[in-house]
Amino acid sequence: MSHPHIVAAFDKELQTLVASIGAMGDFAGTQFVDAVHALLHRELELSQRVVDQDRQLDALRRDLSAAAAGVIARRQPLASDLDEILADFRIVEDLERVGDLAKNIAKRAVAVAGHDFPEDIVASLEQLAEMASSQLKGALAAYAVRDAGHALAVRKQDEEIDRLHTSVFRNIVARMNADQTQVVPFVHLLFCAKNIERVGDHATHIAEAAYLLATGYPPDGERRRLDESSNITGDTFVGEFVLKP
Amino acid sequence: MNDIVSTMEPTPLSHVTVGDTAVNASTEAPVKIATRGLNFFYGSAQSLKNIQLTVAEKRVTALIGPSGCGKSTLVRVFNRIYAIYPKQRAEGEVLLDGVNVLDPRFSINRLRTKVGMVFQKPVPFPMSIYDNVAYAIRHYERLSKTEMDARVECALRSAAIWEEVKDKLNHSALGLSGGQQQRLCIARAVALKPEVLLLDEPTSALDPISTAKVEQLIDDLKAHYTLLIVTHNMQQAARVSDFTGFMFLGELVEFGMTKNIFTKPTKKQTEDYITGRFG
Amino acid sequence: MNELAQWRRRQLTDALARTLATIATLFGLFWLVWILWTTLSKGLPALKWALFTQMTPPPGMDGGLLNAFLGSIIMSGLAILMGTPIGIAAGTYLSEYARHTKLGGTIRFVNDILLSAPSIIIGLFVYEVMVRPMGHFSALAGAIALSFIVLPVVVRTTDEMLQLVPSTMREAALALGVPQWKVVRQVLYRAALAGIITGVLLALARISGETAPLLFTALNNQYLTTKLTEPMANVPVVIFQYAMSPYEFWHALAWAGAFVVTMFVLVLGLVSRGVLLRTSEYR
Repeated sequence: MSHPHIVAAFDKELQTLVASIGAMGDFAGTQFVDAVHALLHRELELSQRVVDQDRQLDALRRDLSAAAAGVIARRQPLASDLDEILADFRIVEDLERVGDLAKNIAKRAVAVAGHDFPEDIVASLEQLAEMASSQLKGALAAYAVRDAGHALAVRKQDEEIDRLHTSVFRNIVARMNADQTQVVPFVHLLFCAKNIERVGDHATHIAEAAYLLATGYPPDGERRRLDESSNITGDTFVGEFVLKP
Repeated sequence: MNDIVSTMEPTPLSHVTVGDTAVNASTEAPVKIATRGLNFFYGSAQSLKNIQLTVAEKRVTALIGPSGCGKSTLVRVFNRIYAIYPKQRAEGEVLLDGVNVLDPRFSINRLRTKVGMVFQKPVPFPMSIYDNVAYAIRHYERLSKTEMDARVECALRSAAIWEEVKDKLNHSALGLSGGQQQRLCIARAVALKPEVLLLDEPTSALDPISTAKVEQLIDDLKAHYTLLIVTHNMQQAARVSDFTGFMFLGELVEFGMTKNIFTKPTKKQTEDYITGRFG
Repeated sequence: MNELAQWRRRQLTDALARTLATIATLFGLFWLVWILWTTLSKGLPALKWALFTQMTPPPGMDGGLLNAFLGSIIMSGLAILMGTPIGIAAGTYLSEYARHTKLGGTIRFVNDILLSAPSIIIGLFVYEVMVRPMGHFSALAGAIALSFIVLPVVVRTTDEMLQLVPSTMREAALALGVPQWKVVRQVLYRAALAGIITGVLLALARISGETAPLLFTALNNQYLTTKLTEPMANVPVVIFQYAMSPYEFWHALAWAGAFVVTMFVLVLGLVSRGVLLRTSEYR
């Protein structure tokens, strides 16, 4: 892609899209981090703000999708340009889903307002959220500069998130078995954990799109899915459970 | 002029390959035309350099490239229309069903009944619509009036223009609109039931609706004819063709299946051209 | 303010140019009208039906120009009949088979010389070649001399009109596998027809007034004859003779003849323009 397009406006439109997606990504990332914080630290004002601001993300998605559609209609992109526009569409969708997940997490803050959670669970959830957030940032950075190596590294990070998520899941289930009165709030935490893991998945999608744009080919091989939470059965008890880092 | 085609041995085409991309058109469809070491000269200037092209039977092959790349020149070799200009000459072989049609012993007129051509600017003859279509038929076949009527109707139907002209077959062809004239020229070309149709930028001079009608026509025609189309419009090439060749400065730079050329071209020149980045 | 002054100047220049052009046109038209008026008024005494029904009279008697008109028609018609096919064939050869060759260039050059050759030289040539060996003047010799004038005109117009036919039409017809001579005959001639006809009409207009060649070949005949081996009356020579004569009525006849010929040429010009216009509607 050494030459610019003969029609300069085409390049400008593509650049504007990339920049807008970057801004949308920053916003979604902030929403996510705020939502997790609001849930774990019972900050109801913050959580309400996250819920309200989700509307902006939806508007961004509409606008950016329309802009990308406009590029298709006007420029009839082919080859690498076509890859680019299709990638932009996918990323916009992924980012909007990240926003929805953040909103979902924030809403649960009200439901768990009156409860205290064990420190270790809060810590591991925060760690999980931190990993997902950095993965999202990394994916967006790889997309912005078309860095294939960075994209692959981000993609690999998903394995760690999956592992941590599995162990958090186990931990919470064990706690629920131990104290039947705490089931409901812990269920909310389970969903929260799952949502965080989903954010990681979306970040991985974005990284894969970035890799495609950088090299022209999708990354090799299937992603390794190390999330075992769907295999967990009900008989896990605190005593039998070994906390994995 | 005796046509002694029958004494010339057809050359087996099994070893013909498609350019230097991995795609081998002959595995997808039988090869109708293959060029071997085709060079073309305007006087002393060389405008085609060692072209190795295969055209698949009953498919649409498109040739794209910037102005002056030689795509029109190449297409005009296939019916030897360049022969009317003394300073133009072709070297090499063009194999139609295995027989070299550039051989001086191969009858040019016979070639032109097998390979028809439609030009960029619609050129109806200054006679009635009926006579335009019947013109070449009359030269080759002696048909009764009813037989000729049927042939003319068939040709006009093939060109999707029968309904519009059936009541004015005796009117001058010059009274038709541009799009209609072009479809008339297509009818005229298919009236002889050729095997191959060469289309040199057939819709460049037409409005969008006429263009769409001709594109639909191309889709219908490929059931019966092998089509080779030269076009400036890349999206059109992407829409109508099965195979595409990209030419530049007299060379066939890349050739392959259309869907590959327009999504993942292998040569940077091709990519630059189709994305509008030509330096 | 500058703009206004410029605009005024432009208006002035425009008006000035237009006036000058109009004056020039009127100047040119003036002479034509004067000629027509003169021939009309001077020929009036002879402009009656008798002009077309009676033969050239002996001096002092009443008469018309019947044999002269008939003679001119016969010889001109013959000249066109002889010159046109050869002219069209040669023009076709030049355009279709020898457009850029040396031979073609040479032929065009020679044709142009013939085109602008003084007609008296053509008359002398035919006199030497036909009249002297035959021993007498003849209408045939006159027709042949006129055909030498028709020929280069038709060659030139046919060549140019055929060259005007777009090459795509040629290619489209040849691309159908039809041999070249058929393409020429069935497609190209049709496309260039208007132009070729105009060329023939222009040739006819030209020979209508040629006197010198006829002077040496057909001379004149007091009586009505249609035999080609005899001298035949014709309008230009009659005009020449009668104008030089001392007889009043002969003068009037000469003027009347001149008027008719002028009108004929005028009408021919209008007709050929009409032919061109009508067929160009389609393009």
